[in-house]
This record gives sequence, C-alpha cells and structure tokens, in this order.
Amino acid sequence: MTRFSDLFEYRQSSQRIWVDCSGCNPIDEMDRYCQLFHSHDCCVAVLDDSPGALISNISVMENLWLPQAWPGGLSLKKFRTQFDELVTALLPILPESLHDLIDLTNIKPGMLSVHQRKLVVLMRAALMKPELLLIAPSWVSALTHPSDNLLSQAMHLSLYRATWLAFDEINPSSNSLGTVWARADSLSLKG
Amino acid sequence: MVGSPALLVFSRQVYFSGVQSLLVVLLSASLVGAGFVLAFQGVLSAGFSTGALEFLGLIVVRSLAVLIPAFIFCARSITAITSEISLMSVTGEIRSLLQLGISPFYYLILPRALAAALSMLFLYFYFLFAALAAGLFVAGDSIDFSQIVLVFDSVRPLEVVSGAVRSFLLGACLVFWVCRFEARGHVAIPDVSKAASSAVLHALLLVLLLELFYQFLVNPLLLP
Repeated sequence: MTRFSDLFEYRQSSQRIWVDCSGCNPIDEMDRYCQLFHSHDCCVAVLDDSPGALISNISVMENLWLPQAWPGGLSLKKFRTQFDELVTALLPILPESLHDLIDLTNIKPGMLSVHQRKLVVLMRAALMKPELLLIAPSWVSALTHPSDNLLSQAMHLSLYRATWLAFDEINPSSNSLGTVWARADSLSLKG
Repeated sequence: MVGSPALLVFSRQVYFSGVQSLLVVLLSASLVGAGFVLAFQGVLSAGFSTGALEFLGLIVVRSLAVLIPAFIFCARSITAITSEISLMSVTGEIRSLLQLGISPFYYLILPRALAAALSMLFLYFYFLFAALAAGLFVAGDSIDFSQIVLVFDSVRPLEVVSGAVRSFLLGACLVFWVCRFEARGHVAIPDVSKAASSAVLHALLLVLLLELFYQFLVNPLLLP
C-alpha cells in the first residue's frame, strides 16, 4: 500500500502511480485519497464510470460546468461561451467520438449511452485541468486493453500533464506494471 | 461558499416549491375561505357575514395560512427533495460530489432550505389573501365596503408578521430536518420510496408539533 507521504514525494519524479487496493475497496480508497488531496487544496479529477459519476438532475453542460464553478467561480453563461470556443478550436484534432459530445450538452446524463457517459466524464476531467487524476478500476482497463482508446483521447485533452493515480488490485500474473505504464507513457508522448 | 451552482439549485427549488405550488394553494385557500363563510351563513343570523369574515381573518392569519401551505409543501416538495437526495445517495452521486470537492450541504441542502423558507413565506401571504378574497366573494352583497375595512382592521399586523416568520422558519426547518434524517446511507432503490414516505410523515408531525409549541408557549407571550 502506498503511503500518503510517499505520494507527495513520488509526484516529484513520476507522473504515474499505481495504488494497490488489494484487500480493500478501490472506490473507498479513492474517496480517502480525494479527501486528503482536497484538504491540501489540490485540483483533483476522477475518471469513474459508475452510474453516479455524473449528477443526474442537471444537464450534461451543467455537469461539465459544476466543478469549474464551485464554490463561486465561472458563470454558466460564460462557461458555455468558453466551452463552445474550446470545442471549435479543438474540433479538427478531436477524435470523432468526441464530436458527439457537442450535441449532447443540453440533455440529462440519464439519456446517455455508457460510451457517451464515459466521454462526458473524460471531458469534465479535462476541463478541470487537474493536478491529479484519480482513475477508477473500470478505467484502468483502458490502460491495459489497447482496443479501448478512451485514454488515448484523453491525451488530446491535456490530461497527460496531470499525475495519474490508478486504483486497482495488482495482479502480477496477467499485468506487468512496467507494461501498463509503458503503454500509458507512450500515449502521453503521442499527446 | 455558496456559488453559482448553488444559486441554480436555489432558483429551481423556488420555482418548484413556490411558483408551481401556486395553483394548488389558490385552490385550497379558496375552498377554505369560501367554505368557512358558507358554513357560518347557515349558523348565524343577521349581520352574519362580517362576523364570519372576521373570524375567518383571525383563524387564517393565526393558523391556517401557516399550516395548509406547510401541508402542501410536505406533500409536494418534501417528497421530491427526499426522493432526489436519497436517489443521489443510492446511485453514488453524493460520493461523486465529494470526490469533486463539492460539499453536499452547501450544494444540495442549504440552497433548498433557503428556497423552501422563501417559498413558504410567499405562500403564506398568497394563501392569506386568497382565502380572504374567496370569503369576501362568497359573502357577496351582504356586506359593504366599511365592513370589509372592519374585517382587515381586525387582523393585527403583529399576528401577520408572526405568521410570516413562522412560515419562513418552518420551510427551512423542514428541509434541514428531513435531509438530516434522510442523510443516513441508503443502499438500494426501494429504500428511496421508503425514505420519501417516512420523510413526509415526519415532516407533517414536525409541522403539527412546532405549531402546537408556538400556540401554547410562544403565542401567549408574543400576543397576549
């Protein structure tokens, strides 16, 4: 188990940290880390595709805006303008699947498919420009399975600049840590 | 601490609890006002209408304009608020808010409590005037303008202020109470409906208890 004090030292040298959650619930571990990082005023984003990852009673656009505006920041109108400008600028280099997101901003998250939900979570994390990116076990598979290119899309959204913390049980027989991080780093280099 | 997202929650709650409740409050106030005067018409003899209206004014200002909107608020808004927050708890949305560094108290509960307080204040006056207007309408030709002035004169301003303050505080108390009560962890979807029904029951009991407390202990001191 990585200790919190190690993590802060670790950030100086590495941008990829695997938090071994053997024998505990990874989601509870993520909560604990989030609490700690927030108490240190770190900007933390979370990649999680559980049903509650997006707030269901507000629109997709408001979900993207919420972390930017809390506790009293950007107004929704201003954010909408900035979002439109950003998307227009990024459109030529964004993967096609992210183009869908532009049409989805006024609907509620309940109407999104699983893939679209993932895209919104990814976009929300990217817009936060986090120092730390906490990756839930369901997203860790995106690192280990080359067919899932969501995290490679994250590279276009400058998420590679954040320190990544992946929360999962380590299973040395199937995944070598070195291989996993090599893949993550190769994606970062592309970005 | 309270920023724009909280203002959005506040304005939506005011719209739901204050504006969308207007029709049902208007209907209930009209039924109470008209029904009260009609019932008295059958009992009292000559000069009945002014007496009935005076009594209606007194009972509406002192109690009904606080209680009936509070019951309507419990039936509509407390159910909605409890279901929403319980469902957010079950699906892990509260956890997501915490992960994003957003306080559920400042984002979900405080704006709703303030909106509930404002809505209840607004509904108090709306109910008061609608009930008296319905009473006057039913009394019809049997009273003249001077008698109407007499009816409004019989209502003491301090009683109106006291009712308004009670409504305001009651709205906030109800939301804080049910959110505190329902903040206990729910683990499955069926818990949501149970939470909503128990919250409404507790809210109704709280309204009656607070009203009883006020009428027995505070009112004799405030309005001797």
